[in-house]
Amino acid sequence: MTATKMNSAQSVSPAPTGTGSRGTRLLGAVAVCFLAVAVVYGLFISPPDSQLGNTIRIIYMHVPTVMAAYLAFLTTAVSSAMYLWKRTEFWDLLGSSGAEIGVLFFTVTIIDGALWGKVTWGVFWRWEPRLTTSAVLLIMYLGYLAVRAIPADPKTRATRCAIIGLVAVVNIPIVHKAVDWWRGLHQGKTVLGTLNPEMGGTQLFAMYSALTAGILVCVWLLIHRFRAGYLAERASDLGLGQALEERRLESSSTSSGSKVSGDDS
Amino acid sequence: MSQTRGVLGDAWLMARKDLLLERRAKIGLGQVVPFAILVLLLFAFALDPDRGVLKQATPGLFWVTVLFSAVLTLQRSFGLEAEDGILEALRLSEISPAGIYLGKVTALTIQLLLLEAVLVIGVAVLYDTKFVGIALLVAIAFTATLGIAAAGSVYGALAARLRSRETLLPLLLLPLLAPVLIAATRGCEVSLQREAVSGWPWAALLGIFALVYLALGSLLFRPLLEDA
Amino acid sequence: MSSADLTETLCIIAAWVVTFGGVGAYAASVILRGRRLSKIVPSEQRRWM
Repeated sequence: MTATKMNSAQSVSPAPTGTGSRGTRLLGAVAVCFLAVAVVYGLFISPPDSQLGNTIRIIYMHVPTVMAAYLAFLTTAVSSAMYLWKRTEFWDLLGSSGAEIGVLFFTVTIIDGALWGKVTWGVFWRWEPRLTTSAVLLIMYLGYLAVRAIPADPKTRATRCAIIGLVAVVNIPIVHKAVDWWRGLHQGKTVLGTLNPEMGGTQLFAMYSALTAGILVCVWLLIHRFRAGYLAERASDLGLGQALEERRLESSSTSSGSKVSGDDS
Repeated sequence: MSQTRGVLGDAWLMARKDLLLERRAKIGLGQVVPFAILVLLLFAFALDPDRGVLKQATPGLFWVTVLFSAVLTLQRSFGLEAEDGILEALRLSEISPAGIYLGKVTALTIQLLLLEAVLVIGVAVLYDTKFVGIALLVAIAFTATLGIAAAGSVYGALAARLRSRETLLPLLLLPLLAPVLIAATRGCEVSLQREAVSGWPWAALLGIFALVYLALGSLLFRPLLEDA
Repeated sequence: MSSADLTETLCIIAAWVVTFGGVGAYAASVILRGRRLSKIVPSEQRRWM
């Protein structure tokens, strides 16, 4: 991760003042472009859907956020497995970043879904498969974050979280299946089920722009969150190093004072 | 010595130890079973037996009760070991982690199945349930319980060393067991002839859940014991 | 504008506000945290690809 060249001051660029870099600035710029297109087309240019009416404008947000959430959780899953194999800090930081971002996007997905439901069904909540599954998965990953927040040494914390990450991800298809079978008997208007597959022209364009924007934003967030986590680890190492240094100074000053009284082992 | 015993031998050793401990302490009999019956009573107070809701909801209430009781049993099963440093001793012993895990799962499954047997009687008496489709019921009970024990043992061991284990274990475990609750309840409803579809797909889903978590738990128990 | 239309418009606006606002607020907090931490961590350890 860190560059190891320690050349003279002229050939080394000044250290970054945050988690940004040329790569992320570029990525961010591209994401903003797609976002702008998505806003313009999603909110204004594309017509109301033949089946969903204007509520398709909510779906333009709902689909990208759920995809972003799954991308984030997939990252966590892979990172958890990789951590247990390689035991490097990289995978631990990536996994926890993914979980946090996944929780963010999932929460937004559920809120968007509820708002769509308010318009379509008249109520904020129906026990339809997607919302129900999302609620369960959200709470699973909130548990991950709860364990992450428990103070522990990095290796312990990382192992715990990796285990939870794997146990949780394996459950995702099972929850999907169970909830789909269960609620499948009570089909009504589901959030995605009534999306017109022949959605064409500007609607499709708006959807794809939003989807691309969502994925780009997710990756952008992952990189920044990862780097922030990395800095946090370095900062706490620093704090630990300082504390040890202080302890060492303390003991050396007291030992020089107590040399006269002899040792007491 | 443990090489000749193998994983299954280790598992049997662990399971025997747990079951003997339980027979001596009688926490399951003395505390968890009364708790479970109490939950059945609470549901009756909450749902008013006269309105038929209780009868309709019986499979769901049964499995919710099992889940809560399972959390208590898990807390107990792993809490003891964490407190007395037994987990550390186990880690340093020659017993294979997979064997420890499978032993725990076996002991828990047996304890939970016994609890469910008592609850079945409770439900038959208190909620006036008539049982049909016994084969499906037994299959569901077995696979669901195995799944609960398999997934629960992983999180039980993980939460055991944490001070906030009482609140953390339910938070971690219960969302994980949501598909078990759904499948077991729907399967039982089918078996009690409340619904006209086949219940065996639900039993199959429960079986898959159990197998997946048995495999995952066996793999993860070594890093869990050593580093978590 | 009927009340149903009003609900619809409000919900659509709310969805976009929540989505952009939520993700944006999180992004801002991560960036700010990164800046704050950068001040503490020495420059040799702050190299990104």
